[in-house]
Formats: sequence, C-alpha cells, structure tokens
Amino acid sequence: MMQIKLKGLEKTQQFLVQLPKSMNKEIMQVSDTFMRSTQKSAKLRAPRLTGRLADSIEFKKIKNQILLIVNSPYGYFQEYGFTPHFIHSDMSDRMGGTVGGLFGRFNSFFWVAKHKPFIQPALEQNLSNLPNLLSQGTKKAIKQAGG
Amino acid sequence: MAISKSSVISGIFENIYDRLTNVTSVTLSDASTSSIQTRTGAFPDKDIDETSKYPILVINSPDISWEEFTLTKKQVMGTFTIDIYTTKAESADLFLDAIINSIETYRATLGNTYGLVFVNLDSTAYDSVMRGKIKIHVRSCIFSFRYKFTKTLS
Repeated sequence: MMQIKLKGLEKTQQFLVQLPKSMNKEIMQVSDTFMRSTQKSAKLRAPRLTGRLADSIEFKKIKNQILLIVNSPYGYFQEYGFTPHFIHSDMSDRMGGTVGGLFGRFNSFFWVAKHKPFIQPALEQNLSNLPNLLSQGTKKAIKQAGG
Repeated sequence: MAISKSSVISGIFENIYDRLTNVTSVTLSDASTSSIQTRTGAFPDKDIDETSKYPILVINSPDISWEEFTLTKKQVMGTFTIDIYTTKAESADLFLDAIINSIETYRATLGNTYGLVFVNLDSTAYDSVMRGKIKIHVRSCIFSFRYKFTKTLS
C-alpha cells in the first residue's frame, strides 16, 4: 500500500487568502510613492511667474484612487498649448488682479505664444522607475502574505 | 522631540529634521564646497530659478498607516522622504550619501530612544530638469519605519 501525504496545504491556503490583501496594500503604497514623485517632478517643471501654478498641483487620495490635480485655470493651457494671441493688460489674471499688474505694464497688449508642458514630462520621467517600484512592492506583498 | 501616539508625524519629522542639521556641506572632486542654502519641509513654489538658491534640502512629512500588532497594540507603518535639489549632479550624489549615512548612523538612537524601529532605505530616485539657464538635479531617498503604540480600548 502506498500512502501520499501532502504537508503545508494549510499554509498555502493561508497564503492564498492573504496575498490579495497584502498585494492591494503594497500596490496602493507604490502608487502613492509614484504619484508623489510625479507631483514633485511636475512642480519642478511648471512655469513659475507667480508660483500659483506649481502651488496648485495637488495630490489627493480618495478610497482606492490617487489623483494628481492641477487646480490652476491656466494649467490646461500650459500643458496642451493654445492659439497664440494678444491679451490686454486690463484682463483679469484670475487672482484678483490684472495681467498688467503682474508685469507692471498698463494700457498695453501682451503677445502670448509659448506654453510649457509639465505633467507629461514628469510622468515620462517617473514611469521609467515604476517597474522597479512595482517589483519591490510585489516582493514585499508576497513576503507579508507568508510566501 | 519624543515620539508618542499623539505626535507620530510631527515627532518623526522633527527628529529627522534635527538630525539632518549635521548635513551642511559636501566637497566636490574639484575641491569646491557646496553648502545647503535652504532647509525646508516642502519645496518652495517660488524663486527657484537662481543658482544661488541651491542646494535645497527638503525633509518631507512622513506618510503613515496603521495595522493591528497584538490585541493591545497597533503598529504604525510609514515612510519619510528626503529630497536634495542641487545644480550639480555630483553634489546631489554626495548629499544623498551624506543624508543616508546620517540616518543610518542614527538608527540605534531612533530605535532605542524614540521607538522608531526597522528604519530602512526603501528606494532612491533621480530627476533632472532645465529651468531657464540652470539644470536642477534632484535626488530623493525614501525610508520606511515602524512604530508601535498601545491602543485605546473602549
């Protein structure tokens, strides 16, 4: 008579139950690190005349989502560009003042043509490090689950 | 500053901030010295386009989460990030080495005096960006830690 005995099934079962939980936790941790890093890179790349655009790049965690938000009204145009145009110095700077007030020039027109993307380059820079972060997170998750 | 349940974030931040006051300058291969110009808790949102403003050392506030440790204790799992912004890649590397060494040699005190254990270097990162005429090099290091406290049983 032959008897086959399997040992460690209980541990394997426990591991399989624990793994999704620890994986979820570690992936959130990695996402957090990645987004914070991207936020820093974006802040560094953002044009800074007043500093409001850089200041408006925020990071929010909502349940299982991590959001990078650009709150400034001109953030979109800096990122994606716009048709070159003239603006009058009396126009609002959307901060309670006028465009002319920002530059100390009144009763004149300004030619605006340049934009500087800051989110896309920041993402590109940080995406290169994401596989490393995910790999580290996965290893940690497996270890935590008892693997 | 002592670290307690009610002051985990501020306590850790202050301890790390105070510890890193010993990282002041590094000597580059051309024998020139680079000294920290600004030591802060967050990267400034203005005035960053002048070489004289650098190096900037940023000690970020720690991020934490809780998990059950025993029936009566909880464990804080967290990370703190330290960034160095310089205008020379070499000085960024040298500062990062000095920062990591400073934290490493402080691990025993953190553990024995403040209860901050398993302080380990999780990862480092590099970034560089052109701002006008200057190139800014950023090096970051992320440390993880654990801290246990007695939970309130109602």
